[in-house]
Parts: sequence; C-alpha cells; structure tokens
Amino acid sequence: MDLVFSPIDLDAQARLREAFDPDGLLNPGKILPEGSRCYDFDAVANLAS
Amino acid sequence: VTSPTLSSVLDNLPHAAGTDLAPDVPAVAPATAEDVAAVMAAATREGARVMVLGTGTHQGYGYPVAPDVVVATTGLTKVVDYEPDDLTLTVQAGVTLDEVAAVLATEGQTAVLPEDAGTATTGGVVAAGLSGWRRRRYGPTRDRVIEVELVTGDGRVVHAGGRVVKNVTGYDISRLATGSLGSLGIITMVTFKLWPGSSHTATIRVDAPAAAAPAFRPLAVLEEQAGVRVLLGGTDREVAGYVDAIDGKASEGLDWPDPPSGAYQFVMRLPAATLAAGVALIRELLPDAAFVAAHGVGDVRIGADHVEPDVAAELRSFAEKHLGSLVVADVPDEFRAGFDPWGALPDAMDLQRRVKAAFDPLGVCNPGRLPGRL
Repeated sequence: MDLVFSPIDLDAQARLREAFDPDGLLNPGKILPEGSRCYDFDAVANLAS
Repeated sequence: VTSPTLSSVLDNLPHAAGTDLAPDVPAVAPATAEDVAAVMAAATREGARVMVLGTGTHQGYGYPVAPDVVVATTGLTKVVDYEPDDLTLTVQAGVTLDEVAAVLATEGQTAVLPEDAGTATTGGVVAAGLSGWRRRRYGPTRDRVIEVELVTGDGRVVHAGGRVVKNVTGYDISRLATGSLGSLGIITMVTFKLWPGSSHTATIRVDAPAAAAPAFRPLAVLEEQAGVRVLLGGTDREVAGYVDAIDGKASEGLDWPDPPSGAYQFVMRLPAATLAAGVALIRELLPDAAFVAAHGVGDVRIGADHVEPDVAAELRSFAEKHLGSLVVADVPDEFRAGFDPWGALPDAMDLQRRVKAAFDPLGVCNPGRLPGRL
C-alpha cells in the first residue's frame, strides 16, 4: 500500500476506517498497514530522536 | 515557524468573480491544489467557513451556506492527461463539460457527463453527483470517477483511486467524494473512465415508454408532458434495426429534451418500477410544469414557474413512501425557508458525521449544506 499511496493518502483512508470502526476491531491490518496514521509516523520519528 | 493567516493566504491568490449567493466575502480562484490546501489549512486554523464554487450552475442544492470565504475551482483549468487507448481522461476540477467534450471529440470518445450542463465544471458535476440522461445505458457518473485529488477541510491533499481502470487498491474515496457536495473537501482533479462514442445515433418519438421495448439498450427513454422520446446509439446496423422495430417518428442524431426550466426546480428519484405512478401524480398536481422522467432509471427533473409548498410536500410524501426522494435543485429563498431541501434524514446520521469529520474535522467545508445540516 505504501508503494501506491503517500502517508497523507493512507492517513485519509485510516481516518475513514475509524469513522466506521472506531475501535479497530474489524480485520485490523487487513487493508491498511499498521501505523497508517500521521501520528504513527510522528511516533516513529520521535523514537529515532 | 508561524502559520500564515487566512487573509495573508488569500492576498497572494488570484481573485475570483465570486457569487451572488455570497457577494460580500472574499473569493479566490487558486490554480494549484497546493494553493487550495493553503486556504483550507488556514481556514481550519481560524474556523472560517468556506463555500466551494465551480461556475455556480448547481448551487441550489441543499441548505444555503453562509461563508467567510469563497474558493472557486475556476482557476484549475488544466487538462492533465488524456489517454485515448486506455480510455481515461484526467482534468483539473475547473475544466468545464464543454471543454471535456471538445477534447474527447478528437477521438470520438465520451465521458458520459450530463448532456445539458456544458458550462458546469467537472469538479462541480462530480461533487454534486450528477449523471446525465444516458445513465440508463452507462450507469451513474460515480462509476466512472476512478481517481480524485481531494483537498480536505484541514488542507491535506489526498489522492485516491488511480488511473488504471481496474485499480482496486484501498478504500474507494473517489466514489465517496462523488456527491459529497463539497462537504468533505474540495475536489481539485478527477480522472474519468471513458466510453467510445456511438457511430450512429437516432431519436424516436413514441406514444408511450413501452414502445421502446424492442431496443436492447437504449441510451435513454425520456417522458415529458408532450410525449416520449427514445434515444438510441450504437453501430449503424443496430440503430437501423431498432428504428425499424420501434413504432414512432424517427430522426437522425440525439435530440435531447430541453432541461425543465423555471424558478422552482426539483429532482424526484423513484424506484424504476414506481416511475409511471410518479409521473401520473406530477401530471395531476403540476399540469403546467415541465418535467423529464428517465424511464429505466427513475429520475424525474421538474421545473415550474410556481409550486405551492403543499404540492411539493405531497410529491415528496409519495416519493418517500416508495423509498425514493424529492430534493430541491433550485427554489426562491422564500420557498426554501418553509420547505426542507432534502426531506427525510438518511439513516445513521452519526456515521455521516464521523465520515465528514474524518476529512473536515472542524466543519469548515460548505458547512450546513448536507442533510442534517452537516
């Protein structure tokens, strides 16, 4: 997925998923890679620093 | 780094003519998605309401928007990519339907967009979810929007879908954006899947919709006050065969009906099987109105110089009883004040709210336009 979509595109899809499945219970990780949200990217950046 | 204020962002962008609907607010016409994004990001920071405007041909839908700024897509005028062999066309949102038709005419192809909205923009037609009369043959516009670039309410530039016709990657945000009426963001670019045009076309005037039965897949079967016309497209042999088989007065070419005009315009949607009863009711209640009813689809466009609120309410009640709808396309302000433009609320309003919030967290995009004043 991250070859096709930018982090912003994936984040938009993740937000849309949250509208339908706020708790992430339905097939988590099936369509969107784990860590698709912008804050996940931020978290990774913070870990590195 | 301090973020720029909305007013400083607007100062650096080309000004647009704006709209009579919001005459006293600044109007800009950015030429790039990045500039649109800068406006939206600043608008979200400052809580400023944004009205999205194309050429303003379909602004009568929904509740009125009272904006602080108007963002017109009319500066987004590039034809980005045309691949006749792949049957795809990518245009910026401000390209009009007439311009699309001119580009595609060179290869005899069609994007099957509404036949009578030449000055409307592609972005506006997609945002309004409009399909043309040929929906009976080709399905709705929604099914041909295979890629969008959408600037969200908080200024993210999101790409969804792709230019490959059979691309199925990710959630179908392109279809979600189609018909969203600028409530999720501003569509800045669209890719359409195309169809080859018909080598031969004909229009046959008949007495009743049932007369169209010999045609396997007519482009449209349209009923008006004055009668019914069957519009055909295909190979020479195919069309000639149908012209022979259908009892009526045939002419060459596609003779589309005039769009129903008048200060009062409605769109009624019914299950196809209920359409005949709906047309009978329109004839009874609005004998002087113009209408075009698309048989096999279930859409009726109605135009009249005057409609009483109780008559509109009776038509809506009929439509909703049959799981259809009657929505306002355009009416005078005084009528709008007493007649809901949408009718019955959709199910799951909380879900609708969450979907809007996923794209437009502060609700700055066309606020209040959608059912439930989302």
